[in-house]
Amino acid sequence: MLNENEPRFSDWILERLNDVRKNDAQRQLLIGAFRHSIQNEQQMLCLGEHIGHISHVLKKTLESVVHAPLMITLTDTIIDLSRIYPHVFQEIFVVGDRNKNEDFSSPDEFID
Amino acid sequence: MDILIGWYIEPLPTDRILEYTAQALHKFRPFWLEQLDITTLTLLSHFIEDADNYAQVTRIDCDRTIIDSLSRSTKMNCKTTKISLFPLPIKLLLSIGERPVRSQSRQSPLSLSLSVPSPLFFERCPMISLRRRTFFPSNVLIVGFRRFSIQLR
Repeated sequence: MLNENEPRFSDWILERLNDVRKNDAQRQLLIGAFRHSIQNEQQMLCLGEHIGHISHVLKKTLESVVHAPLMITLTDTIIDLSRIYPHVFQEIFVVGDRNKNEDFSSPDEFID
Repeated sequence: MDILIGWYIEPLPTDRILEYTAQALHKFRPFWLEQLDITTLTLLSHFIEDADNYAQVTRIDCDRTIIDSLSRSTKMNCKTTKISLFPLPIKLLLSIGERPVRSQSRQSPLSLSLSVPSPLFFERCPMISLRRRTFFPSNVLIVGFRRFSIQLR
């Protein structure tokens, strides 16, 4: 597995992402390759200790996307990882500004 | 999620972007449910209000008196949002309401106040499709509001 031992493929990908940060086409290829490398992550869990950093980089990359194909590849990758590591992606899922300064009464319970 | 929603309601989205982002929002269903009270329903309320405001401004753009009565932020939102704003709350509601969700202890219904969408809202969004199924927004909202016991105002 590409991410099983040192050096990890994901480390190399994340470094290259920074090198080509102004080129969405190249970033799409790199993110696509990274997504390919995590096909067996559900069984292997190679990235467990690094998923926080990876999710941070993916989020930052998503924030700077200009072209839709990169957005799609990135979002697919985030969805894949969020199913394997839901607790990590809970933190970057939060919708920000719209929640601020709201004064809704907090729901006590929920029924069907 | 802000970024994804931004792509969904961007001024000139392509059909591919709309379809993709709608599906992606749906795939994040576990997270919408996890933050149902804190994030999801609040966001849903904002979307309905934004879409309603947009519908009013674009419908009554000749009536300066009504436009002037709207807040500045509302007018700014109306200028920058597009027609894709209308199906967004419906799709969000479909995503979280697809299967019944049970509370940990059912003592009282969810109490959240949401604006009732105006008829203009439904005129602008006569029907939507999601995952090869077509829905009438009015039906989806009514079922969603009943399912979540949302209080309308």
